[in-house]
Amino acid sequence: MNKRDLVSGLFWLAIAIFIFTKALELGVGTLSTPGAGFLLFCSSILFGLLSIVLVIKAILHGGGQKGIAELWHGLTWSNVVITVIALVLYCLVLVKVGFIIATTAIMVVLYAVGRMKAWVVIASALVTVALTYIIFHYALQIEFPRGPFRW
Amino acid sequence: MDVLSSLFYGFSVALQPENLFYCFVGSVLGTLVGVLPGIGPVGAISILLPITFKISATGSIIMLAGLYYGAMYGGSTTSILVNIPGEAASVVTCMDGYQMALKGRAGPALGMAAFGSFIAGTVGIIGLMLFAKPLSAFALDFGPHEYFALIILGLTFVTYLSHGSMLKAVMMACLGLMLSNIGLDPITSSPRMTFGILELFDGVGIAPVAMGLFGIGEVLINLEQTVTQEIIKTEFKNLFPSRLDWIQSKWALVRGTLVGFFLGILPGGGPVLASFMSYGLEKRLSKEPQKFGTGAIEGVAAPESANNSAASSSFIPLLTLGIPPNVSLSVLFGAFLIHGVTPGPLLLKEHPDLFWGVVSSMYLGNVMLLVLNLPLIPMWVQVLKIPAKLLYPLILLFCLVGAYSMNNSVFDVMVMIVFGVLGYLFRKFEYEAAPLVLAFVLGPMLDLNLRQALLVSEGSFLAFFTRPISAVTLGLAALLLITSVMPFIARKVAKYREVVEDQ
Repeated sequence: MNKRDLVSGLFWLAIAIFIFTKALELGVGTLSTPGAGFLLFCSSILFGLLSIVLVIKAILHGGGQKGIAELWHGLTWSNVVITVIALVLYCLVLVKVGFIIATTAIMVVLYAVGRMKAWVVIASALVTVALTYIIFHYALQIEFPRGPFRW
Repeated sequence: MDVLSSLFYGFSVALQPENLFYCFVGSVLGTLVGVLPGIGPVGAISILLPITFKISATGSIIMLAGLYYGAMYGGSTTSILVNIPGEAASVVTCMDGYQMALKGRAGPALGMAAFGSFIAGTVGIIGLMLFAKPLSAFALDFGPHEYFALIILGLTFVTYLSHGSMLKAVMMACLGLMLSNIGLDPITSSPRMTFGILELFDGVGIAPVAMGLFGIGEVLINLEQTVTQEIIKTEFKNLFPSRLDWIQSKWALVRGTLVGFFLGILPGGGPVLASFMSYGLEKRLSKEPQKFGTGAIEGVAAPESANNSAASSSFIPLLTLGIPPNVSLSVLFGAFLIHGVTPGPLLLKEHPDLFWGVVSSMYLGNVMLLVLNLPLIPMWVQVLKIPAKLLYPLILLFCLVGAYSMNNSVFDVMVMIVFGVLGYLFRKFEYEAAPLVLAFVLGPMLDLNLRQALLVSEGSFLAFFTRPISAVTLGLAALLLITSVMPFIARKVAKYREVVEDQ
């Protein structure tokens, strides 16, 4: 059994059902006067049917035994987890603490993922943020969140 | 205006110092993107999209177009010297380019790649110039039925030509269509799938989606791998291919250019497919096919000329019909819309400065790229030595700043991160993101044209088959679908016969 296709197929099937219900809520209309949900209705049906085919294929044929855990076997997946958490936290604090503090913090984390020496990490982060601010704020006149210190 | 006077007008636009500068920046960035593995032209165009807000529409498109075709030039350097393609259209160049480098012939391989790219790129632009005007005039007669059929054909091609499972590719196209429906309905103005979130009323932007899938997703995949790059140590004294090299490559260059040109126009085609097809064709036509893969110069000349020719000709459907034929140009399509310009048959009439300025800038860009790629190869090799642990945080930072600056909104950054994680999972679970992005861009057009066509024909689908252009286009799409299912049916029939014979 191909567990990868099975899990992803079931996930997509759930999405298809959800969108199908939303399309009905929006109003499918008629063929001569199609409503706002017409394309969503058609594409969700096709998407759902294809998801079912994928699930059936995964159970019947599968293309060999394909587990999910093997996808991350022998890889430093912790780098990905740390990076994604850092990116999400960046979004959450950007407006509150301002661009300079939030970006310096995330750059420290991102450079640290590369296993560099502490002083290199901090220096690289500071230089990167300074250059980014000069280019984007002063040269391209992009307004960034200023945070509590107004810079 | 005839073609020559239009071209002259285009040069007067492209040679303005500001536009010349953007053409140069685009070409340099394109080469850089092509050289550096880990980020392709799609990701780079998406990251640069927000920066173009401060630039004129013509300057922006000149720069982004330069980045797109510039990446085709740069991609060969990593393929030949490191055996790692900087971007997908140079994958096939690795086969013979790297073998040539191992044999001490990196110089002629790099030289042939650059000259081949220049010749084919220039021929592609001439084709673009000659075809664009008549095709634009022809497309003026297109109605919603024809546009619907063309979009369906484009989506069918993209899924048909997908590298992996066609089933998954069609699913991705469906997902793209559904995502494109988020926002206000263009006909009734009622909100669709907005869940009360104000930011979703304008829909999901192409830039955060593309940056997430092709920028963040790509970096996340690379972060968990340890890549060791071995650069061939070779002197770049002799970059000019010998007379024998030219004799051996001449027909490969001609065929590569032609194959690339026609596959570039094809919806769903583009540089990647063109490079593979031309390599395959050269190998099939060669008197010594066993030479391929061991360092044959034709194996460098054919794909490199094909991908550049395709990069130029793929602008034809975008500029004349308003239909992006591949994923990179679908992001570029987004750039046009951001600047309030709708690509399509009216572009030539309404924005001749933009149209001819971009076309003329391509000539200039190709010359710049030839100059950049030959003498500066040692510099690009040094660029390859930038450690990934420095490069990836920088790409992520550009994505974050780019997504934020689109609308000064953290929401766009969040959307980009969500699509970044999705892009990473797509790679893991073997789903291709390209059909999703193309369907996402074409979705609103498909929705509007389908509904308008049904309104006009009072709900009859027959109208799609009574109009010649739409009938032929839909027929082609159906033919593609049938041919893709045929091998599966043939296998089933053969298996059934075996069972019957055994019994």
